Amino acid sequence: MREALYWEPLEGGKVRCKLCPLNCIISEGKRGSCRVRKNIGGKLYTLNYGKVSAIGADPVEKKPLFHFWPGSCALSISSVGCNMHCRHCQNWEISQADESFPYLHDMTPEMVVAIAKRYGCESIAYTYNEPVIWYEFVLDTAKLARKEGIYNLLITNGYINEEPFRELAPYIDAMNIDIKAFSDEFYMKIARVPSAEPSRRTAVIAKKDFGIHVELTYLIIPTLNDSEEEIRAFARWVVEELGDDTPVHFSRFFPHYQLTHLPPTPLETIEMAYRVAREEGLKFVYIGNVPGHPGENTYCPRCGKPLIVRWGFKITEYNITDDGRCKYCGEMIPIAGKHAKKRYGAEWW
Amino acid sequence: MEKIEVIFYIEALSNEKKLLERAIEATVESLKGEKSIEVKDISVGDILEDEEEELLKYSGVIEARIVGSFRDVALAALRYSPAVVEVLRPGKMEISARELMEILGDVAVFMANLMEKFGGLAIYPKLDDLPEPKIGYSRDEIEAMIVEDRQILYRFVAEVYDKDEETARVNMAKALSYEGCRINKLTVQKAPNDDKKLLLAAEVLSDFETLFQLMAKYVPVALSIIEPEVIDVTAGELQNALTDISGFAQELITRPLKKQLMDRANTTFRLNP
Repeated sequence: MREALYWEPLEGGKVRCKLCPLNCIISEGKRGSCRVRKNIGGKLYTLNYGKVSAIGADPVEKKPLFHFWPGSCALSISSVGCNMHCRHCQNWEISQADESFPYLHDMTPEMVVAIAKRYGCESIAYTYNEPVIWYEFVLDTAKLARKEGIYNLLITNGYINEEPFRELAPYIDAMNIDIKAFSDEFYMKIARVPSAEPSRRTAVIAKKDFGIHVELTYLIIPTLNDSEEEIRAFARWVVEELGDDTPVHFSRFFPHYQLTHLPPTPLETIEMAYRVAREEGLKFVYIGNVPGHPGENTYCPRCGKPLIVRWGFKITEYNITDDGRCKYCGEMIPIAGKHAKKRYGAEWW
Repeated sequence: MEKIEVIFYIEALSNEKKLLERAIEATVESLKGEKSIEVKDISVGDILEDEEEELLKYSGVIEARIVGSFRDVALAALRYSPAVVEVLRPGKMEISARELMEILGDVAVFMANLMEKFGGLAIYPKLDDLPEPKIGYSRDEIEAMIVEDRQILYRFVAEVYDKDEETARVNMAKALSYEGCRINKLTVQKAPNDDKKLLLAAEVLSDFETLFQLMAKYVPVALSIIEPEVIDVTAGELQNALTDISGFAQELITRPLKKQLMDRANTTFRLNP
């Protein structure tokens, strides 16, 4: 527990948290919507600093990040809490928990970086639950990791205010931003936050102002965000605001948490999204949560040949030259880093 | 006192389907036989099986619509420890300070009995990082908190344990502040005829929900609500208070089982896939 960053005192012992766009006004003894930032005696404290709920070495493809050091290893860490309350959250046991979650381990930034080095991880991924509301710990760890030559990956909903993001961004190398849908209505009803705009703004600032490698994930949920118009509007926005070389992952939904009554996303819907996004001009579109689907592969936008062939999170073929070009036609492929050839002989899953 | 109408969502878990069915049946029978509360409607959901779960594979939910006085409903919430309590009516109610003290007394006695068997509830993160909170407010400040912030001013005495009186005073001030109380007065002294036990006496201000939490966690030996004489409570506050105390009771009752689960989780391991 330590004093939080980004808050201001208000009258009567209340405080306003200024970390995320919810800007919670919190009375004494109460917590913000994220459950892990609490007003104690008129000051805002973060209760999950150094509280780690899960830690493990994942292939970077699992984040998913397909264009950032392909085949490398990301030490993935998480805490508890989230500023969104998505009805379909697959990690709700930790995202909707607080510091009383029984399986938390106490760690310091130094310990996290030491473990990443020990296990030969090229990066540290702040993932599983929302890293934004773990801000202070992520910031401290990211600074240290940067010094040690380890990349920092933020796997986030992007729901953060501009000022704190601008402080963190210089230490972040890659982000996967979860765009939940392309309508405020979805954000209000399903993610239970007022609007979609902050997540999109974060993506634009990250890519344009800081040059962070950005990939986007769009989980397609039957009946809620799966219309062709919505997906087309999303893809058009990506092309216009982030560029047509931004990798976009359309993920298949499986019933979880409060949306167990919905069926898994039909494959045809995912393939429709893939087609629509390509029609709108996106060059690197991927299908997620469907292992073995050809939509997991990276294709050359010029000659159409498969450049990175994947099965799940494993790379089975890599046809990009060391200087980042298509082996067949010489087209420049926007990949950050090189193929980090896996030292793991076994399948990941 | 005005009657309240609530729904208890009682969750049952087991490793044996038959056992779970029997436990649900027994709980339903017990609810039907209740004299102090009127059980208007009971429905039992299908038993679900979670194949991934090793120990508590089966789960079922009982939904019971209950009408009764706040006091009786609170006691029923402690006995049945529903996972969630939903208050249907009234939207608002008034409780006199005297009635509320009686209800809180019942809660404290019930919790004290559980704590004797299963241990305490007042557990905090490291309090060293917290500054010592302000102690003492002017009469005007107190009045503003009561009128504008709907805070309740009360005194209580509870038994606490620490290495000495001064350490206990500092720690308890921080703990009460952590809970959401504003402390007007606080003192700690040695309990008569017991070297290890200390007595904490505090005069604090807090909202309705925090008052309930505190009474259930600290099981005070004495409580006196000073102001206001009549407390306005919303359905939301009632709901939170009832869900909190039932959660506390459940936390204690299921503690041995949770310990077993934790031990199992901490000692099983898988080879890296």
